[in-house]
Amino acid sequence: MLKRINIIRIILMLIIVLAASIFIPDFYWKANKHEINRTSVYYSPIKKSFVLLKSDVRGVNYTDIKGKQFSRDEFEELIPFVNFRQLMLMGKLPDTIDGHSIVPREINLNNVTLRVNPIMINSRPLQLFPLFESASGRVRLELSPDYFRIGKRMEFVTSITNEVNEEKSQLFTSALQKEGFSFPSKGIYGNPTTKKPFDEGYFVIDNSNKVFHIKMVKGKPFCKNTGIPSSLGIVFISAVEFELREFYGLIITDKNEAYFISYDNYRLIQLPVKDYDHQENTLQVRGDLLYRILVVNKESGFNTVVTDRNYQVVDRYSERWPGKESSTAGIVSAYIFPFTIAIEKDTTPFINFYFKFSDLRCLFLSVVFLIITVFYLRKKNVATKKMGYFSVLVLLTGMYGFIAVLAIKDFDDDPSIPKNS
Amino acid sequence: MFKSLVFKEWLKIRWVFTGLAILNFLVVMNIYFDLLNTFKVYSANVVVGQFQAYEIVFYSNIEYILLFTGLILGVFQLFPEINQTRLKLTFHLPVKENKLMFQMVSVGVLLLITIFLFDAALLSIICIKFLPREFFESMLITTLPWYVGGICTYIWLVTIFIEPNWVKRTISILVAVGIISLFYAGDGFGKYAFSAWYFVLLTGFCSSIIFLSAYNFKRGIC
Amino acid sequence: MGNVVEIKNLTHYYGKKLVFENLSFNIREGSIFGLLGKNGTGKTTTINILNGFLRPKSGKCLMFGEDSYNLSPTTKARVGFLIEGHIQYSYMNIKQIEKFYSAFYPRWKKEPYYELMSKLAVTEDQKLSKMSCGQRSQVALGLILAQDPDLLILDDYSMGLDAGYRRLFIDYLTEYAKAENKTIFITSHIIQDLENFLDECVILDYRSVLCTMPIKDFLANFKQFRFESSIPDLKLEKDDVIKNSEVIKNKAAIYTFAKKEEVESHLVSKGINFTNLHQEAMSLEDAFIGITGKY
Repeated sequence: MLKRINIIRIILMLIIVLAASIFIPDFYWKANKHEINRTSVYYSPIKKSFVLLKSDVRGVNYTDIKGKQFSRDEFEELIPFVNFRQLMLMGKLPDTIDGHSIVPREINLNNVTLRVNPIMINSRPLQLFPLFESASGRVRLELSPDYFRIGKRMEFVTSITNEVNEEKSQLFTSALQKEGFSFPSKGIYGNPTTKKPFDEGYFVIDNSNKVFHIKMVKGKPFCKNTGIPSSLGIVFISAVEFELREFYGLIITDKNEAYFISYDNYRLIQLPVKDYDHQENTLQVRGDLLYRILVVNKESGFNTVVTDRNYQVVDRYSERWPGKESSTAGIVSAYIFPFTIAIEKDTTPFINFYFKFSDLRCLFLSVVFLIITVFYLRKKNVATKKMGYFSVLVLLTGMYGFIAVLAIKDFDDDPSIPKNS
Repeated sequence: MFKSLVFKEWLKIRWVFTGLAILNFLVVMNIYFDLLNTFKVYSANVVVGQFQAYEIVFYSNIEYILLFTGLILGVFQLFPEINQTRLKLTFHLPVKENKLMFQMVSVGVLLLITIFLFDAALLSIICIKFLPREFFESMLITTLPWYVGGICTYIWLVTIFIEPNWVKRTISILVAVGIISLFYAGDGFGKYAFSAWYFVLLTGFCSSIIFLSAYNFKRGIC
Repeated sequence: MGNVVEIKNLTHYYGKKLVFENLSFNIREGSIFGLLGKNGTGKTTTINILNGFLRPKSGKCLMFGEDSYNLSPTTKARVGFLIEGHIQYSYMNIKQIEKFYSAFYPRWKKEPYYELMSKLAVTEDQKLSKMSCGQRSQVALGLILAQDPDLLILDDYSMGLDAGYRRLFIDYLTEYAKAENKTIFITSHIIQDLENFLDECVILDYRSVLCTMPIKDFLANFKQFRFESSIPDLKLEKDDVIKNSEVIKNKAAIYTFAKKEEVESHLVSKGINFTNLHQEAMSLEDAFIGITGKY
């Protein structure tokens, strides 16, 4: 009976360790909020170099990479493609830049922006999507009366009746089968909103990792095997509908590569991204009339690459700043927390127990707690064997284990050891 | 003898159980009518699209009701036992104390599961009737941690009530609040998809602490 | 006839405060045993230890040969327990509560219970919570009689009861005790009802045991002597002979286990002059107050 109770005591201690390792660091970091470095990087076609917009609690700074400061107006003139409307208003938009004549409508058409962060990659939305009529002849897209899923076949469910539209389902399923689609799908990527200029449908990865392009054109299925290699290891496709019609979307692979799917028969254009971890970093791709700029954002820095319109690298830049770990709070946390557990992470929408371990620095405090624990347990006349278990716990879990030992309060001390109180 | 114990627990909490069942039913009906009205105001395809795109948890009203149900059932089942230490009466019965505790808690958990199954069944009917099956599947995994959390709340309440020592009770309350809050985190659909079983396991481990409280009760305040 | 209960060197503290030390007594099978003492002297503590709801700091407590902290279910079935205040499941009515308990005790006899209930002016579906204190005590008594235990433990059966109910209890218990091998262990701080009921007693004081002996012996040996003295502001200290004393003006009373001659020589040795030293008869209650003191 006593043995069972001791096992339960250990379970309680482990639960206390769990709770402590979640809430104490959580509170600690709330109290020591790390100031986030906000830097936006642009490439100036005027200066032919990078310019930076840094904002923090004190205000906004406009600089170049050598640290030269600009006023807001000067800065905006350096990046005319970004601010062309403002410059037009001020009458400061140049007629030509770098030999190209500048037409506002062209600037607008060529301005594109894409963003992929780990949460998007790790999300699992409901695999139920609207298939718009992409050639309706109307200016605006209209919401479809049904939604599709791709399981054992492609099925359309009419919303109002919540029933399957057999005819439409059969029609699309045969079209897919004809193209060699392997059911079920592994991923469906598109923009299920009518708030876009036109509709390019969805890019769908089938069961054998082939990529298909699926649309509805005048009520008929458009299903095409894109020919994108199934060995690519695609983890995410950010589908876009830009008037520019240069690319359908951005592919991210498990090898941290990034590719555009071009309108030229789905030919892949590899983007020269470097030092990118799709599970940890955010990738921004911005484009204008002359350049493509790729920015990889991390917690402790960024790196950026600029290419010309043919995706040849023109320039690179990167910056590092001390991350959370190198701040004072971060260094202290490495000493006081042997590990931390969080149930939420900012790189995934899913709840789980996310462990983060410190390094050997935590041993200092763990040993101190161990010594205090041994004295404390001695005073309570705890048997040596039990003291051994608790000591191991405190050594491994530091302050959490110490709190757990204190919380237990009594241990059914060994009655053969004489008491002093 | 187990039958008699079930009879005793039932006598104690039958009205609370009924009240909680009615409360849960009303909340689910509220969800149903809200959904119905949403479909009346907006067309079905708009509703489905918005729900999918923004992960709208249209049944979120039940989230904290499930916690509340576990809490209230625990309070009303345990308070009469602790009031004037009636637990001594129960422990004096010619059955091993741990068995008595286990049976008592089983009755509470089974009653909770009955209410929760009832909720789940109603919500399932609503989902299946109005929405494509993806919503039904997603609803199950989204609500699972809330149900388990309700049971975990009940279990901690039993532990806290039985523990005779006020310091240990306070510690239990702190730990309970922390642990239970873990079941009600996250927004949107199915955020516990990869960890639901860990939380079931955690609840199982928490339930063992009831026996430590019972042991402390038997040992008395010294 | 063996010992139903054996208590040896029982010591308990509440935190640092001593409740009692080295308490020892045995309860023989078939006897009616009283644990007497003022409020706060450790009676309920002893009961709690006996029923396994408290683990003593040191000492041994056996019930039917088993460690009282780990009683087996079969032994628990042989013990009837009346909790202080007649605590019962107050959300049940008299029919439900009888039905509930009957499932647990193999020897359950519902006749004595219902016989007692017929004397109660309550309906069958009246909940215990809606009954008076006295009525509840009667239900508690009925349940215990129905259980037909070998050992009956009553912790302060008299709490909240008026004279009529107290007498009812004693009458029924006396009848019950006549059956063979039934043992009763009773704690109380109201002594007057127990005079002709108890066989043996233990009297507790704060932090000490005042006496452990059969009632007959206690009443025979514990005496009250009164005398007059001319010493002004006479003070009598407690010692081996003088267990307690009272002085009002020039009249004194001492309580002692000693014989008259020992008392006389003791007073002389203390230089106390006295006249008219005589023994006064005492009831059990008088003797109890005598040994425990008025405060």
